Amino acid sequence: MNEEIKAPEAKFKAIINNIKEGYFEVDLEGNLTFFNDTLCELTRFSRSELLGLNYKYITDEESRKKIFNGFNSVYKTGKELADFQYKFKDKHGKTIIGETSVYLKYDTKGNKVGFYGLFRDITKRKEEEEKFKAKLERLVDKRAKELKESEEKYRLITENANDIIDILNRNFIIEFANEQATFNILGYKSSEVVGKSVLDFLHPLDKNKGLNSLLKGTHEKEGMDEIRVRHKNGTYIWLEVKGKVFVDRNGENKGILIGRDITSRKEGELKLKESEEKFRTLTEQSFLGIAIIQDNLTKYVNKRISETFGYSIDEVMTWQPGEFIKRIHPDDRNFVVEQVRKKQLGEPNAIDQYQFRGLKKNGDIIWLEVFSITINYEGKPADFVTLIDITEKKEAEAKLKESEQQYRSTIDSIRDPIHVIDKDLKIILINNSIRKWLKILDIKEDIIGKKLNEVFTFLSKKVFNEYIQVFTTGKPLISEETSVIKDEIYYTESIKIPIFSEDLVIQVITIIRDISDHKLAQQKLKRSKRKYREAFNRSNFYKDLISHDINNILQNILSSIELSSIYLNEGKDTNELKQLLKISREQVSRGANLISNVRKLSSLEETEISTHPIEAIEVLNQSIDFLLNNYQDKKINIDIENPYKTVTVQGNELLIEIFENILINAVKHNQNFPIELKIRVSKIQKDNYNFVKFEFKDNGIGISDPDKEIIFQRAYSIDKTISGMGIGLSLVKKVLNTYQGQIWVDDRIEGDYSKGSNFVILIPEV
Amino acid sequence: MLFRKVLGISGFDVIGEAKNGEEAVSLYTSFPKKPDIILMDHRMPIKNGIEATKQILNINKKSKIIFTSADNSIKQEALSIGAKSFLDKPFSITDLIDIIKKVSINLE
Repeated sequence: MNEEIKAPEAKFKAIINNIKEGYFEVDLEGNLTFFNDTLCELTRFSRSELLGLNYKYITDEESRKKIFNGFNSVYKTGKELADFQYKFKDKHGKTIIGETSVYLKYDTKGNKVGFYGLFRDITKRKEEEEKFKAKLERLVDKRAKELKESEEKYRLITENANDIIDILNRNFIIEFANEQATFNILGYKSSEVVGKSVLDFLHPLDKNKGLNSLLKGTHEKEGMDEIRVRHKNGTYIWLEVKGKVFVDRNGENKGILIGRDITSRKEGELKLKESEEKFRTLTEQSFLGIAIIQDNLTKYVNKRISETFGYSIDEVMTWQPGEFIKRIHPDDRNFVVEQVRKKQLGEPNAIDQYQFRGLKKNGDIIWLEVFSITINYEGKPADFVTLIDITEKKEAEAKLKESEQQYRSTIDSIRDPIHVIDKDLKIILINNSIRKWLKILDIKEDIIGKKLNEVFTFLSKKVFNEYIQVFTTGKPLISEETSVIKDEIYYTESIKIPIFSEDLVIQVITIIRDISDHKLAQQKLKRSKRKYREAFNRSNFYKDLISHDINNILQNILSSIELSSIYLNEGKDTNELKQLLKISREQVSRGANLISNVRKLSSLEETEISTHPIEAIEVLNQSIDFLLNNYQDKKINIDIENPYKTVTVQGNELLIEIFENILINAVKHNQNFPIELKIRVSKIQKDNYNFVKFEFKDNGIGISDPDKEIIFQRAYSIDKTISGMGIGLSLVKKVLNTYQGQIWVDDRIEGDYSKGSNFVILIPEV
Repeated sequence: MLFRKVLGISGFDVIGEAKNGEEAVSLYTSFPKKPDIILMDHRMPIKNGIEATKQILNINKKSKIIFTSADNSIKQEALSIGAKSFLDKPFSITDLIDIIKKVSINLE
């Protein structure tokens, strides 16, 4: 039995001692109880040093805990522990990393008595592993860093891109949107679009198109479209979207969309389209013929052109190069072809506007007016031509020209000077007669285009007002003008006739007639008539004097004589007779005075009376003496208020007639007793002239307001109802007129003429 | 003054004398007993004989007015407005008395 036992033990020991791994057995406290030689070699301890050695002696705190926990778990579970690694120090203090398998050791009774296992030194392996791990970690770190840098780069590119970059999942839900561009272009924050379907943001009219593009792109792995996307403010932005399908790290298919704002371009395109439509509409509806000629080919013609020439648009469009030239009148062909050539080449010296004759399909000649410019058409210069048929206008012009010639020859044949002016009063037409007239007036003939007041400087403001009147009212005006030219007076009669255009006066024709001779003859006749009338009036006046005043005088004398005769027969006393004789004497004196006044008046009317300085106070005193001598039978009180010793006036020897007439009237037409006369002399200034003022206030019968003026007029008006004062006052006024003096009559007491008069005389003071 | 003397000698009673037409109308209006005959001159200040005649005849159309004037041209007008007679100046006292008498007879 022992043999049998010994034999496996020996065999076991032989195996244990020959394996390259250390074998150990420890009790439950961790003391080595058995081990092979390999373990001694691995730990550098001798067998004796190693036997009974507790694991705690060669391990640090961390390993100690680890070993305890490992072994303890085996103890508790009974399950082996494989590849249990831990560190300990060998005899020389070097750290050994060991890898151990641990089994629970039982005694024969099945009690747990310790542990056993195999031990491998894996220090080198571990060191290699650590080195590799470190190397790997360095590599990983490097890659991680590179990846991070790459990610950062893409992130930066994505975030700073001007275009929107979205990542969609297979359901077209946005998983990523770059912040800045999404906000800049569409006004959304990234968070506002992420999680939403890209279709939610499309223009309602573009949704189907967008969906189709996405589906097609998914299928074809890439795609592109132009589509309207709603901005946060509700407007729509045109985006050019490029998409590509890619597989993400999770192996899922994703789509990346890059959207570029092409709104400006789109709007430009729309505007261009609109512009083109407008152009087409305008040209098709235009009354102007429009054509584009390039390379001598008609690239475009509108309906009007075809109508103008009588060809259909199709016919014109199929013309061979240069065939249009045949539609130009041979006389105008070279000129027009040259202009078209220049315009097609964009040469700057081409004429933009001209007229030429065209040939219609039926051979008729038409007049055309061309406006042409060089344009860029399909990348090359072309002649853009607009045409208008001016045949009727040309015919009308020809007729007008003919009419104008007739008009001109007509007005030239008129002997009266004629000119036509426009609204600015500029002369636009004259006839031959006015040219002759200009020569006489020493005015240069080139008056066309000049203003009327520049040419005829002698015209009065009245004439210009008349032109304004004709332009304003549209009514012809006949007027006469008096002009002083070279110290000579010219009289003209002008007829100003308005010329209308659309109810507005645009010009005025003036026909001028020199009526100077006629006017002078008229004036002579007028003067002659006036003289005749004056002579007639004088004659009547004198006749009236004779028939009335003298008859009155004679009546008084006759009555006095007859009464005297009766008195004598009846033996009346001499006093009565004396009174009658006195009356007769007075009447004779009145008659003589009347005759004297008539003579003086006649002399004044027939000759010019000269004036000279004369001392007036002396003359006044002589007049007063004359009055008092002649009216000794009347009680006359004369009060003179005169602060001046002498007063010199511009007069003559007739001044005494003035004073005497006034004084005699004051006495004759005065029934009061006594007769009160107040004479006041003063100096005044009137209208910047110095006058001596003589006032004669009486207490006579006075003069009513209506008579205040006419009492001075008898000699002219021959108003026979004016009575009693003979021709005295008219003589006075006439004399005063020759002095540049004045006379009028006021009431002595203002407002009550019956209280007497105040005759006021002004005579220029020297 | 002369006519007052002439008429006085001839046996007429001169009841008033006016210096002008206006005074004549005023005087006529003031008389409680109107004169039988009025001798009217024409050329007078303020108001002439024609106007005064018209006004007096307006007051009393039966008034007998004899016009006397050296201005023969108003004779027709004077008679047409109602003057009974017209005496051209110069006239004799006899002529005046005859006319007054003639007009006075018609007065009866």
